Amino acid sequence: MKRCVIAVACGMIAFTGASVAHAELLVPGLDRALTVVMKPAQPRPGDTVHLTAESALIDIPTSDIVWYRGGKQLVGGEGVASVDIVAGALGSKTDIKAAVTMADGAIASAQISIIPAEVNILYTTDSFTPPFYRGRALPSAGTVVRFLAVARLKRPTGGLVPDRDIVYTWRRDGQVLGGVSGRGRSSIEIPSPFPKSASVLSVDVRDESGTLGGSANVDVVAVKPVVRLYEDHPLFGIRYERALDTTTTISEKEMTFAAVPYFASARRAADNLLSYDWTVNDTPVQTSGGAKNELTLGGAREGTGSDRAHLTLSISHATNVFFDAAGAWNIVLGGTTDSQNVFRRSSQ
Amino acid sequence: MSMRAYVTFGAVLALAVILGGLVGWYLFLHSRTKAIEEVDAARGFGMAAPMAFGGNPLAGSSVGGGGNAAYPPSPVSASRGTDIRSPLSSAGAFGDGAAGAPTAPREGTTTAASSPKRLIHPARMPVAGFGFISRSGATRLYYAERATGYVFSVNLGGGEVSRVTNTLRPKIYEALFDESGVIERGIADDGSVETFVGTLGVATPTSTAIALGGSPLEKNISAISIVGAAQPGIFYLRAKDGGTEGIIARRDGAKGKTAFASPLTDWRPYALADGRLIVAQKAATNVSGFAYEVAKNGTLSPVAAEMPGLIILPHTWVSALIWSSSDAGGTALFARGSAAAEPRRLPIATVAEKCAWVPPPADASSRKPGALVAYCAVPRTPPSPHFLEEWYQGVLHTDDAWWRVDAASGSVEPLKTSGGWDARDPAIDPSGRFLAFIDGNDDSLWVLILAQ
Repeated sequence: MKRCVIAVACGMIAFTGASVAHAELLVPGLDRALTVVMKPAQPRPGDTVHLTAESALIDIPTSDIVWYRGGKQLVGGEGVASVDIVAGALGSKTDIKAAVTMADGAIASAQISIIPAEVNILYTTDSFTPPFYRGRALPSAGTVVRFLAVARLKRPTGGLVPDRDIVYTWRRDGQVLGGVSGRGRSSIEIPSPFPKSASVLSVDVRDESGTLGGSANVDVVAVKPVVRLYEDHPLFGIRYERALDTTTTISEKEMTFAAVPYFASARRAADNLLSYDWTVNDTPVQTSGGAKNELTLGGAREGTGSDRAHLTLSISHATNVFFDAAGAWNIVLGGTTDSQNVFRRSSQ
Repeated sequence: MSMRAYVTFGAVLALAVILGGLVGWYLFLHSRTKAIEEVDAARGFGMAAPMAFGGNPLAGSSVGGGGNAAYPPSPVSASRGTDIRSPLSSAGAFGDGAAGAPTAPREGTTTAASSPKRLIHPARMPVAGFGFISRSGATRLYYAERATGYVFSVNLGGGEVSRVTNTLRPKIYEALFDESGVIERGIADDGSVETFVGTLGVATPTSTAIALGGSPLEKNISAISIVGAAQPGIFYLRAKDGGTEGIIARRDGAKGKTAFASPLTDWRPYALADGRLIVAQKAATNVSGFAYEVAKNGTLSPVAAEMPGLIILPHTWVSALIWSSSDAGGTALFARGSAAAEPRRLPIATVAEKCAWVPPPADASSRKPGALVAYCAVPRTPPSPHFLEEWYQGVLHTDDAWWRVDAASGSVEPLKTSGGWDARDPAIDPSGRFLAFIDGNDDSLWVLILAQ
């Protein structure tokens, strides 16, 4: 009897152990207990992608992990939880698999594909710059900034996904801009940030299948409009190549000056929405005919030597309360110069 | 004292007064004359009339040589308009390129300076643009005056300057030259941009100036590039629906078709001799810029992407590229021999706009692979944190030194020249012997003789 009891007990213990062991092999979902996380989540061609195996059920640091690329073993060993891969060219597809073998022989695996995409955000603004200005217009308060997402999603089977088949999700400072997002919405317009502030604009793109995708972001900084003063010569035109210094000596007795408000929310320098307030030696002056952004100084009599003018200009905008542009110049007309240049720039 | 003594004393005194008065009068007249001369010089009096030069514009300067200096050597100083407010950039004017350098590009090398170079100063008045035109086996330099629109030609061999056209067109801001003639662009009284396509004949030192024939293009073309000799034509940009439309057309504007469309503005077109069309965003300091090649179906392929203050200088015949970036820390210059080649950061800091490729030989069979040489004007002092904006707006002017760049190897070599220029829009003649550029200080035209 005693021997029977012991035998039954041993049998029960053995059965239980086997059952437990078998239960481990048969825990539902264990084969899906492993995931591979990719950073960046949407790599560009040539990016170094960091892949990490993660699991809530498996003790990764003590497990044997093997990494495969395209079916070929890449690296493996105990606790090899991560690996770095260089993303291929646009349109390439790199299949990565991580397989974890646990102590009891069970295997869990996870796969991920790296399909690089290229997304860039370009932008311009409608702020004012004069004709033939070689630089880019910069946004200022009251201007509109137009963005363009250039997304190059190339299928591994070949061919770029057309713009009309790409879904664009735009965000400004993290907030989704639902009204301008959607399929084919590669270009949007938003008001410029406030003066001396910045906005972060981002876009997530994906194809209809969700297989291909990318993202990009850009910081947009608003600048303050700046006023430059130039000579408006009757033959050369406005001498954009030589802005007046704050102190300038000119040999001529008379000269016409043109003020140019770079990056103002205006279509031209003499825009109807802009008001120009000129003072000469603290006396307000009106422009006599011609454009309101131009002023003629001079007309001193012969023999009276040079004339000094402290010129100030303040520009305001009829509808943009944030607009603020001003300048001040000390100009000596009819002075002597010691260089071949018409303008002699005095040291500060 | 006797009467005689009084008379003698009085005579001496009167003589002294007379002499003193004469000396004073002379000094007064001298000062007035100097003032008048300065005013006249400012108005252009005394400068050569727009006809054949009486003097020899080849009487330029060479370092160490005597004779007349066409331009006095200028020390680096604020009086030249160079902004020296900013601290040294991480790269420096001749920086080692190590500090803050991108990890990808390799560094170039610097070699010793070559022998002194000679200069020509063909035009002291502001010019709107220039170009080298080869006809009947001879290459001449053509330029258009900004004040008059008159076109002049310079015989680079002998130095003679002759006026080619007598059609007065004042306020010409830009002039482009090709084998057929000149495209002059200016601003009308109503503020619109006008573009005139003119045809030039063959000029000789003895020919009479003629009227500039041609026709106007549509108004308000924002930018234009002349298509190469293989397919004469123009590639120009105009506003459309708040964005930009790029048109490629015959030189007279006929048979235009849309080659490029974008919802954005502020693009710069490049029409290259090998038929490629490239568009690049205008540059701003610290603002990311992009450049794309425009395919025949209008799709864009990146040429250079996401660089702050990006400015590019594509080669006309191969995919070699020079480009620059500009941010608050300074400017950096890069080069690559082909689209697939490894980019190199060059050990000189300037913008690509101050560089010019040496053109390859016209005969394609004699072009040597790997011979990718350019010349760049490099500011002697570090630029300001807002360099591009201040330079473009005429607030600051640089003081440049010329360097020879081998884009394939990344090596650079300084040229021995006098300084003082703020060089822009450089170009090299087909023979590779003459480097012409505009001095941004006064928009005058200079030619540097690279080889005799």
